[in-house]
Amino acid sequence: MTTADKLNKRLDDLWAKFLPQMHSRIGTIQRAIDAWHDNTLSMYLRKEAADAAHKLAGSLGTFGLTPASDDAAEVERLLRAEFYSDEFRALLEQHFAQLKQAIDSRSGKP
Amino acid sequence: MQRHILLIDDEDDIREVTAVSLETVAGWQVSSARSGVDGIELAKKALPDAILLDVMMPEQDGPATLRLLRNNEVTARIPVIFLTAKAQSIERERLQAIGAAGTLAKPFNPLTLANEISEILKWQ
Repeated sequence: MTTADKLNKRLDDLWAKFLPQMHSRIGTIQRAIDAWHDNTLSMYLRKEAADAAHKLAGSLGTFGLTPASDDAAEVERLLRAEFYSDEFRALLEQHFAQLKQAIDSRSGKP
Repeated sequence: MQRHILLIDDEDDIREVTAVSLETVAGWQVSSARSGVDGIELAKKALPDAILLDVMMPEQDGPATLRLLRNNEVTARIPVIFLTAKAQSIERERLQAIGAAGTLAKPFNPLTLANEISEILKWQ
């Protein structure tokens, strides 16, 4: 077994360990998007969601999901923007969908 | 040569991935702390070869932790590399101006992390 193989095996174990935490962060962002749709998005939830996206951006790439890290960084940027619009929200939802898809794919979900 | 790295980061997953990466790829020993306060105490006891320090942490952030490390004669000369999601050149220059040996971007590649640290610190 090569060093890369050993590393990948250990990273797979860590992925399984931290998947619930990833899902929790995804859930926080989802709640913010839902609240945005309902015009009930508080500054607190918006910051919590931006922080969750920041953490996903920092960690997903280390598990080989570099494009998903970029999507998470974009979600964070949009949630921290001073001004926002329907276009912003559409872009946010697009990056968020890609982010969720990448996490599901690595977890073996279709 | 086996190195001893101290990682200070509030994120559990980053701490564990970093430890697995450096232990598996380079055979280095890794200690970790989840806050700047705990990290400084561990640095004083363990005297690691280098410290990887997250920039954004609650309460005491990376730059504040670095200042305290530099103001303590026991830890003043331990090289510190920042881990930051904002690895643009302005951010890198700002962090090096306050005494960092270098900066590494998060997310990093676990397979090449040890090499990147060695290059920054000019380790053979």
